[in-house]
Amino acid sequence: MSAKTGVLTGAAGGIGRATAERLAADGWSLVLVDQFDNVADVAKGIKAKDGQKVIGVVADITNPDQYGAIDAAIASIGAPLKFLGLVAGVLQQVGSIETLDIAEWDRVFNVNLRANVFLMKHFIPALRAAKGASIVTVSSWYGKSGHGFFGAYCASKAGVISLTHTAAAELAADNIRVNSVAPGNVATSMHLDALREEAEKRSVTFEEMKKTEWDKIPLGRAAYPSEIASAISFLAGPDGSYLTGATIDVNGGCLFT
Amino acid sequence: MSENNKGGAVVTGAARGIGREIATALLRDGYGVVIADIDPAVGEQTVKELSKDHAGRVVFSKVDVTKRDEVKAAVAACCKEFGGINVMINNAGFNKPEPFLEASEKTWHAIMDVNALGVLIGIQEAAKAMIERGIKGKIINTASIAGRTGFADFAPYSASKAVVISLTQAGARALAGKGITVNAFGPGVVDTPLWEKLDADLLAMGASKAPGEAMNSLASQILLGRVAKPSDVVGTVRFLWSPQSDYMTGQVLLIDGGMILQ
Repeated sequence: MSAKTGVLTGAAGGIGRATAERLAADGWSLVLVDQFDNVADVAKGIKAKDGQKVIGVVADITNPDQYGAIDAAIASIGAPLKFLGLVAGVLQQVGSIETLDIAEWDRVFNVNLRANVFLMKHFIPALRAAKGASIVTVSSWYGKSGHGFFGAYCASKAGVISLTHTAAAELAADNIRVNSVAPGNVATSMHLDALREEAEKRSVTFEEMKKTEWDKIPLGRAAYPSEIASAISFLAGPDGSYLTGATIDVNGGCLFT
Repeated sequence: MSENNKGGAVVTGAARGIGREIATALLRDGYGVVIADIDPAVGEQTVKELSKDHAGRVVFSKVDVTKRDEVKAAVAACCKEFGGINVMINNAGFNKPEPFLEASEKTWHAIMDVNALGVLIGIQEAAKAMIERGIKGKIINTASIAGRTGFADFAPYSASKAVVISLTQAGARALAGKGITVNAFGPGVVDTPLWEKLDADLLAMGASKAPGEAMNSLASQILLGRVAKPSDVVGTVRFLWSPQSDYMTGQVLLIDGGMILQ
């Protein structure tokens, strides 16, 4: 397999880490980006074969001034950049539109949507130069349908799906495919924290809240992060070569669209 | 590719086109495959050709998907030959273009029987056999971009593929408790016998003026700039039968090279 590099954001989180493991197993060299310091340890923990490199970079993706460290890591790997995995995302403080602090709306949009625009702008030239590359965004089933108390999160993820379509249309001629994975509930700390917070908001117990949410899922459980990673791997790999502008719903059947 | 025995698979409409490519990929992945098709001559020939690389792991079963007994017999053949049925691909389908105002009852019923009822029967018979054997199988249906957006010159086909999507969702809900997933894939414009015939029919209808024109005008709407080959479709179907998609059910994956962006 010829050498190829991928950049993955949100790499210290549940889905990001599982995706890094999966892509490394697929033969990718990776630059793992996260705002949290432990991304370096995550990178060290990923099994890489001979000739593969996995490097952790601490950066705030909402600030393009910090992308230089990512570029330096890509250069140190020395293989063309053929994949950009936009996994990083934040939840919002659970609350109604009426009470939502607009600063909270901006914070959520800055990470979930605006940073992805910055990242695309920055990395499109390198992806184009690789002559055959792809971008995968991580959206959400909350981006395909609105949900009470999650106005900012839902709208930001709907924006991610729309951005995916636009980027697919603009970049097809450059042989860059752009697709999205829309997870349902994934058993990460982000999901469990959200359940806890929503339970408080709705004055029910955590277990009741979890049961309410998981009972909506035909497969009866939240996803393992590895099950989101496997869809990202598919979209980045040769089996997905005719897909662009697509959103794959990995949600256990909780939403059919 | 692995030649380990992964179990059995039935592919309807597998004598040619996308079905044949899917059957070939299933064989390469280690499944025994029943080529279920209404056309015995081409079907037997396909089995003969595929047997060169996969001797003893591919058999033909003559199936009209609108006939429950024939579908049941193909599933039974799969269980007998390969020890069970792990994958069911409800792929058989056809199209007959007619201008919208002239779309006839005869065409409607013929297309609905094969493309829609045939899929219902296929899901049911495969699922019954999976449940009986405790197999957490994967059922995959061939939908189409036409199931997401209606095309003027093939209204019955578009409607039948919307039915496929609906049956995929209903089947997913019905069978999740048994550990069986039901998903669909929706090709866009694919260079297959179905589309060759469609192109010729549209020309005869006067909807296009030269051979290849109808297909090419559709291709010009595709972001990746070309119509698909059957092999472009197979990667996604393989993803759907692989453990990589275990958490997916009731979903439709469009493989259209970027056409309708839904």
